[in-house]
Amino acid sequence: MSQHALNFDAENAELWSSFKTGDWQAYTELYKRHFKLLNNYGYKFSQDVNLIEDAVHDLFVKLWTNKANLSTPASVKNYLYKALRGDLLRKIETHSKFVNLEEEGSVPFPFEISFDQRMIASEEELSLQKKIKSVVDALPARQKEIIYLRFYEELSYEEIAEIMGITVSSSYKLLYKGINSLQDTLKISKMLLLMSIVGALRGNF
Amino acid sequence: MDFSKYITFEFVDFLTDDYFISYVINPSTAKDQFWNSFLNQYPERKAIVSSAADFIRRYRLQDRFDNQNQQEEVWNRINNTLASQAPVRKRLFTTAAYLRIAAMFFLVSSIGIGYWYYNIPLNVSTVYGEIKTVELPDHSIVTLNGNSSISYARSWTKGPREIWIQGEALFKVRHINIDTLHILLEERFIVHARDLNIEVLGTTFNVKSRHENTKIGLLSGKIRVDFAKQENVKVKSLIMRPGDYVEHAVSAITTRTKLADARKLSKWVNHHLFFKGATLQEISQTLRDDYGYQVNLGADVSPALKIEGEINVSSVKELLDVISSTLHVSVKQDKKIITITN
Repeated sequence: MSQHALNFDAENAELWSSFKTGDWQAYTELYKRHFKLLNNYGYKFSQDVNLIEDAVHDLFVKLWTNKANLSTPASVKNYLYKALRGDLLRKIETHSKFVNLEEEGSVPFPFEISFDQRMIASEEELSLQKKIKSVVDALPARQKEIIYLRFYEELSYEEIAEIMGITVSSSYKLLYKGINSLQDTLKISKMLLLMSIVGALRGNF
Repeated sequence: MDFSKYITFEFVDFLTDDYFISYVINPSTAKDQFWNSFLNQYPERKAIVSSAADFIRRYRLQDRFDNQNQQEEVWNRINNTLASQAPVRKRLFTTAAYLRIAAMFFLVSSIGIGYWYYNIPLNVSTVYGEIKTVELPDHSIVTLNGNSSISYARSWTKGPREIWIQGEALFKVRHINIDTLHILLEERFIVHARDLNIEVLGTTFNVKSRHENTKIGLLSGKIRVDFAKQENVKVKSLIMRPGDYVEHAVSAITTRTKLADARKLSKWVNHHLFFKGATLQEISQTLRDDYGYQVNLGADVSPALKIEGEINVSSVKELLDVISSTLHVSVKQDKKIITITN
């Protein structure tokens, strides 16, 4: 974890204990610090902005209402992520037109990252990003999510397990599965060759 | 440096190696040294290492959706829902060592006063451009300017009358003390703005606490301004009299003046906009803070441009007209975006 992330967590811990005693300012601060993060994470599951906002609203209302009974999590941010994820998935299922016939624990849900907004420097960059999106998109949603939580959110296996509601050993297995699939797909698409050319051209990595 | 395990690493192995990932995401001199050494000794591994690092880096360039422009609205929804919920009948008495937040990333711990209080504070806030007047438990009146919020206990029966503010408000505080020489604890009225405590006896004053700054102007009565942090004991309390105006930033009083007419500070209460010798920077700031406008200045329009004299208008449109005609600039407004060009 970076120093910045460590500081963020430490400050959150103080805010959380204040908020639990009824400190409205602390509560407001927690909202401000996490609104964008929660929206970004939520958007991977659903691009229905109203749904995400409903989930964020419900989460914070619940927090204030139950503050006296809340535990003190090791990471406030991860706690909020887990809570939002659970609620959002429930909302998505309710809104879904299809009846879920699968067993508990294997609920199909979407997870999507995108690369539309980047200021692309070159055609080559554009095509490499497209490649990344397509190889990642080919993975099942849970593998996509764990790759996101590991490489984008920089979370540990333990934290990922907590948020996704799986065991730590499952999280190791899931990530290995995902990355192995990536390796296979990348070899097929010759992306490896492309990237190594780029690397060599730049003289560093 | 021991590179032995990395020599036979494949793509998968790098992507599941903590040290490698930490090097790519959070580089440091030590990590750079390690990996550069590795590649110097084993240049044939360069391709695979680059691919793995490139993958992670490119992956992290994905779009971010932060929905920031909805942050205020969702917050208001949350406020409304909480306000409409039935009040909790159960009383929760706690002795609190009160922790307050003075700034975004900075915590000030309070003095360890333990006192009983109802655990459910009331909070009132305004959206951009909204002006709201609230009656406090002691029948004092507070008027909030746009994008501001106050928080106070539901009932003021024990301890001093206290209120926390973010943003701007005009306070009209009722005198309730009987003997001015011996003021009881519950007769005191304290406003907390960032790391200042403003104590009043019965008076009308304006507090503007935004960004890193708190500005206080006293219209009538008498108030005392203290730092919340007790370590600043070397700084004496500041007593303000009608017409006095102070600005406080970070940990110091930066301005102390006497205003010719302090009532002008609270013109906003009637939706009036008042400026005196203000720069475009200051005007833009107010438009942003109170009304939620985004003000874009053209490349050749300096934020330091000043409009000498007083501006006293009753709408944003009039304000923009004044700016346009006085500074000879073109002012365009598209919903919440104002663009000023030469």
